[in-house]
Formats: sequence, structure tokens, C-alpha cells
Amino acid sequence: MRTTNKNRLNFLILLIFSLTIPLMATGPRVSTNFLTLDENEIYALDIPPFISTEVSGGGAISEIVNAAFSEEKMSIAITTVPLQSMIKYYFTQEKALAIMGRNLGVSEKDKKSLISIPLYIASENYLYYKPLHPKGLEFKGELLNLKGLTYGASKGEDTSSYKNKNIKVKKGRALSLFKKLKKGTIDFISMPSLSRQWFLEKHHSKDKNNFTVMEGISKTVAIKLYFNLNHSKGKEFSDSFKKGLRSIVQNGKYASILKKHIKNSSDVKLQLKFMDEFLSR
Amino acid sequence: MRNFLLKLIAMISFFSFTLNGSDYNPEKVGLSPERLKHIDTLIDKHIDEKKIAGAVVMVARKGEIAYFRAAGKADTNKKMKKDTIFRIVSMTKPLTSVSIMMLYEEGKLLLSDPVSKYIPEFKNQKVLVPMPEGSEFEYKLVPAKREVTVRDLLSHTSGLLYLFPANYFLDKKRQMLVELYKEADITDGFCRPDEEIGDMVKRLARLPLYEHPGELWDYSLASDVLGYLVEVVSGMKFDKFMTERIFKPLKMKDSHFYIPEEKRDRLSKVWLSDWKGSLKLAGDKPLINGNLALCPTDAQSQGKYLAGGASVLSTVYDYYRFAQMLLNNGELDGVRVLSRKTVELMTATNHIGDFDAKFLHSEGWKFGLGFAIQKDRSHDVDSGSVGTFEWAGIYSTRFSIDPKEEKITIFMSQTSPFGMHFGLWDRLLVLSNSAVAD
Repeated sequence: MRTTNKNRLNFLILLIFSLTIPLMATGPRVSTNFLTLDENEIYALDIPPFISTEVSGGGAISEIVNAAFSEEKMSIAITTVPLQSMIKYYFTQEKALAIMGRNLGVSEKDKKSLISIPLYIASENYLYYKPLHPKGLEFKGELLNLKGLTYGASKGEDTSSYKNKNIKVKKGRALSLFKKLKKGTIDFISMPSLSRQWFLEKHHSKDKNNFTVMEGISKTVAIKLYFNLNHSKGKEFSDSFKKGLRSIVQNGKYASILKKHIKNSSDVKLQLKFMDEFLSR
Repeated sequence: MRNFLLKLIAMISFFSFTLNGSDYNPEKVGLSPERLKHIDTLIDKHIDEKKIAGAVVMVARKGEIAYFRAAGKADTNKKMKKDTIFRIVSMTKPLTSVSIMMLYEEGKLLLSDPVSKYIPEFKNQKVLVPMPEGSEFEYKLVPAKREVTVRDLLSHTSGLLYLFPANYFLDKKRQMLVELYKEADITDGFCRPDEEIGDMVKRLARLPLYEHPGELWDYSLASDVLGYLVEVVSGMKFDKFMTERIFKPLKMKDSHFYIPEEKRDRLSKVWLSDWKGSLKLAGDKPLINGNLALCPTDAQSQGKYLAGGASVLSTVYDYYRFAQMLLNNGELDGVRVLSRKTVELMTATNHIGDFDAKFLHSEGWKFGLGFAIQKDRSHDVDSGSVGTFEWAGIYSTRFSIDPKEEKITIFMSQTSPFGMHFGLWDRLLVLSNSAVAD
């Protein structure tokens, strides 16, 4: 009887071991994806090819931001969203660490709780669809030349100067603005040359030559990173980022990232000059 | 000698007539020819009353076509024919679901896989929650309780939406989210944008969800996401995958994403009907009704948008071959597309729990992995047997597969708006079922 009990005990121990080892080895079916939410999150408005999930590394600007933080041994998560209104939500409602992009529509009131850091200065040109304006449109640095026409603006863009010159304004995302140009519901748009090339190659490759650039710079817009002072680490991250940015400008990483994406050496030089000026302030 | 020749010609004519498929033998497969004739009456009445311009209808049983008839017009001066090509729109979805399940059978994905594993933009999704009137911001976003899985997409439990149902379901949250969709240039895909499907899907993934995954059944753009998922997982463009893996093996020779030049004459025009006798051609302009945008002529262009929920053009006969493959548990004419176990999983299993798939049907209808499935016969919409699975398309097309009776019913028309057609579709199924005579 005793022997039987001992055998049963041994069998039981063996059984428990045999059951627990595989369990410990495999672990439960828990998706690790839920464990990756990051408090240190930057919400970015996509502006391809500068900020976009469709470009390697998230685009030049995302790479610069990651490189600068990496220099300071810090990591952040960049979440790219398609709508300016979502950027506003994350900034005002969720007190996100930072927001990033062009034409974010930040109000004067909101600017007081932001530290802005320019990352790229983009010169823009006006663009129109030639088949609908066979005689051409001329800007030549004077908006009055476009009086009576309709301008396609990005959401969040300040359009007061157009309204003052009797130019109608319709708003939309870049992709829909191109469509509206072709349909004739708007007459011209403004866009950095790199973005223009990207959209034309990707979405209008067959008739890209019908989109014509007007002479003269329409505007100069900075793609900026805005740290949120309402976030508990906003100031700390802003200081660290500036340090990291200075490092990558000095050690050549900033330039090499730009060269990889932009491939225009005079533009890279211009950006470096601007960045030196900004960091020396 | 002359008599012999005449007899020979008569015999050849008879056999060629039969072989051409112009003659069928319903009795051989347990269907009453007299009762099937009621379908002629139903369709002709709708044509005479100018509710529809024309239609092609097929009933098949036990692997054989028992009824196949074209009636009315495909264009003002063109007859509807058995080989007329139709925009089958949402009847694309089952084809897309089968594509995904083929990859599933090859071990390339699991139904439990988070979609973000293949399309990273789906990671860390948020759900939209409207805020009360007067709040500083009109909505807030809360993290989804879990990620959207492949199974959620197949069963429409992902939390994604379509835009056009916002014409009928007026809740604030839906209206708010549809406005965000529009702002982000998300469309239902019934008009074909000048971009690739992946571009749209990546934007859609970064917008909020309507509800937490698994906590609703809502007909949506999920099939369009699945189409892109096929591209990501297979490494092939979606149209190429569908052509090489489904259309060619099943000899669906008239199924395409964009109509080839040489078949343009066979594509039916779309008709607008008020269901009261006013019937006219839709014309070339988009048909816009609130949140619904239809572009019938887009199928004639040569674009690159390949919507897994909407883009396929096909014939009744081609779709019959696809339906027969499903009815045969994944095989047709010696070509195996799916295994029996997978077809069972898609068509015989409710994947939406206590929800009902009421969008095209009523209570008592559940959803599998790409099809609505009749769960019982005690509700308003009855397609003949428990286990019947089916779906429809927005220009008035519908198919129904009854595994118990081994019967397939397919109806194709090209008429808008679709909301008027439920009575016609349901009556057709009553007539098809009433013809069962064994």
C-alpha cells in the first residue's frame, strides 16, 4: 500500500513537471502589441516625403527627430496622422509631448504653451493645371495677379492674405487638392517642390507635365516640432532635443539624412546654414 | 438521301442547341420547369413596369444549370444577354475573402493575427467617443481594447465603417467619424480614386475606429483592407492574385477589375429607377446621394485602384462557377481552390456571436467569413434553408447558395438605387425555392 502511494506521488510530481515546463516555456497567449503604448509620443501630420509612413524611415524629418533623440540616448514614438484636426486633438486634449508638421493650425493662444523648433525650411511655389488654363497663370511675386481665382489651401493654413486680394479659398488635403485642380474647382495650390514631385510621381505620373509651376516663391514655410509645455516632460524633452539636434548638425548626421532624402546639395547647404543660425541663437 | 441529310442536320442542330447551354433539364436535378417559369413572369413584370431595364437570372442545382435566362435591355438599343458583364460591386467581397483564406491555408497568415503585423499603420488604434454638447472638443479618442484581427476584417467586426450607411444610420458618432473619413479622402471605393488601394488603407488605419474590435457588426471597408492585405502577404498586386489564383483556375474568363477594351460592348449600362415607371440611363456623371457616391463609368477606365470590396466586373456564368466551387466545398472541375474544412469555417460558422447581420437581411441572419448565413427560418427574410449563405451588390446583384438543397441562385441587374430591390431579390429566392420538387 505504501509503495503504491509513493509511486502515485512520484507520478503526480512527474505529471506536474511535465505540464508546467511547456507552460512556462510558451507563456500565455497575450499580444505584446498592447504593451507598446508610449507616453513620449509625437503626433505628426503627414507631409510626404518629409513626414510619411510611406517613405523609408518615416521621411527625412522623422529620421532627423529620431536621430536627435538617439544622440541623447532617448527614444520617442512618432505617430503620423492624416488630419490636422487630430493633431489639434492630441495637443489640446491629450496633452501630447509634441506635435510636428506644416500648417498645423496652432492658434495664438496655443502657441504660448508650445516651444517650437524648426527642422526644415521649405520654399513653396504655386502650381496650376495647364489644360484648364492654356494661356497660363502668372504670379511673379504678386498675389493680385491671381485675383478672382480660387486657391486650394491646406487645412490649418492661414489664408487671410488671399481673402484680402479677392481670391477665393477652398480647403482640403494635398491629395484632394490635386484632384480639385484637375476638376477645375480650384485654380492653384502652393506646395514645397519635394512634395509636389512626390505627389505627381505617385498619383499623376501620366499627366505630371500638365501641372505647371508659377514663377516666384509663393511662401516659405517651416516644418516644425512643437513641444508641449502642458506635458510634464515637455520642457525636459525640448532641451534634450535641442542638444541632440545641435550634435547631429555638428557631426554631419543631419546633413547625411537630408542628402539621402533630398538629393539637392544646394538645398542641403541652405538648410544647414539656417540650422546653424537657429542653434546659435 | 435528301431525307437522311435533313434528319442529320436536324440532329446536329438539336445537339448544338443543347450543348450551347440554351436548353436545360430542371427535372433531372429535382426542379419543376413549370415553377421555374414563374421567374420569367417575375422578371418580365418588373421590366414591363419599367422598374428595371433587364436582368440575367440563373438557378443551378446538383452541379447543373437548370434555369438561365436574360431578359430586357443592357443599354437603350442593346439586349441583355447571358454573357453581359456586370459591376458586381460588393459581390467582390466573397472573392476577396476566398483570396485571404487561400493564403490562410498556405500558412501565410492566421485569422487571429493582428492586421498590424502586416500593415503597421493598424498598430495602437483608437476608438472615437463623442463628447457632450458644449465640450471643449467634440470627441475623445480611447485606446482600442484589442487590435483588429484578420478575422475581424472577414466578419465585419473590426470597428471600421463604410461612409454610405451614414445616410440611413444617423447616430452622432457615425456622422462624426464619417466626416473624418471624408476629410481624409477615404471613399467607399464605388468611385475609383486616382491612387492605389494601399494608400487609402494606410490613411484609414490611422483614423479612429467606430467601436472596439469585436464589439459590433458593421458592414464596412474591411474587405478593401483585406484586398491590400492580399498584396502585402502574397507580394502580388491584388488583381494579378485574383486572376492567377481564382479567375483562371475556375475559368472565369469574363471577370476583371477594369473592363478590357474588347469587352466594353458587353458591359451593361447602369439604369436609374424610381421604381414607379421612370427608368433612364445613369449617364457619365457620378451619382451622389449624401454619403453615397457611385461612378458607373469608372469601370471603363484603366485605373490602379483595386478595391477588395467593390471593384470586380463579372458575368452570371462566371460567378456561378465561383459559387459552385464553394458549394462543392472548395473544388470545381478537378481544381481545388480551398479545402472542405476552410469552406465550412467560412460558410457554416457564425463569427459574430449574438449580433445579427441585418444590413441586407433581418434578424436570424449571421455572418461567416465573407457571407451572410441564414441561422433559422423564423424571421422575415427567408432564403430557403438554414445554412444558406449569400451576399449582394449595390447595382442590384445578388447570389444565394443553399448547401442543403445543393442549389445556387444568381440575379444580376444594373439598377440604382439598390434600396428598392430587396422585394425583387427576396421574391426571386421564394420562386427558386418553390421550384424544388423532390
